[in-house]
Amino acid sequence: MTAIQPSRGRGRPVLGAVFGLLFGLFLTFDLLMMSVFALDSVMVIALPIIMLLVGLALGILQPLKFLKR
Amino acid sequence: MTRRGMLSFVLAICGVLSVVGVASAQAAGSDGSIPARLTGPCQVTATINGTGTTIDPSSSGGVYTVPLSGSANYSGSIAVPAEERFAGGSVWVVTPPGIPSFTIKSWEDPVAETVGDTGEVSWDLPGALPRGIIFTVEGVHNDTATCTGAITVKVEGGITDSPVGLASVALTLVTAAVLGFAAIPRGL
Repeated sequence: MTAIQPSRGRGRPVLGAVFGLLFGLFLTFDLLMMSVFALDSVMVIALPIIMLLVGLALGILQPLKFLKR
Repeated sequence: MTRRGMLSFVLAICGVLSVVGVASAQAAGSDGSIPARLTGPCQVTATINGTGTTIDPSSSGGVYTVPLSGSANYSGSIAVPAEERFAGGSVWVVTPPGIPSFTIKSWEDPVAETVGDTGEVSWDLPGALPRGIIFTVEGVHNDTATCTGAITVKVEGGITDSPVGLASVALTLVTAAVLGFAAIPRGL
């Protein structure tokens, strides 16, 4: 299995960051309603930020390049 | 910064935030062993009608589940002389770090003479309200002595019991799909 190499083409960092943040916000809301953590937990703030960074990384690195033939 | 360096930086930040979040959740007792607390010369209890659930912040009660609509009989007292004095306080919902808490109720009486109160309170929350969210309610009563207390509650029901919950799940899936699309190189 080869390691994922950074793509040399143009990525989608803005799209990844924006929708990473949105995904983090909605996921946080879902986890709150499933009583995974409380409303005053730091995860309410941390999880959207984490997903923003994950989205940014996905948009830059484009690890799903195997779909591009 | 190279892309590998940027990836390492991003993963390091994610790792730190994840550890802080998990540690915070465990410290708060979100595994269910959440202690209630009451300090000062006060006694306060509330019994939810119909369910028989008694809320007593002076004992460990975990997460109290309240119905969407109902009523409760409450009783509160403070061990101070029943003479004219200033008394006041407030009750608020604790919010995440960095977000101001919001006050549910506050009271103030510059010439208070009583040392206790009993009564009934009722509520009827909207059906669209998201269910299952655990939140902490804190309160303080300033009198000749000061009392503070906190309980942890949630509204009965789960994620599928309100339209807001269903919409959130749908939007989670949609944003996840777009996030996956962002991981595909241009020109596909």
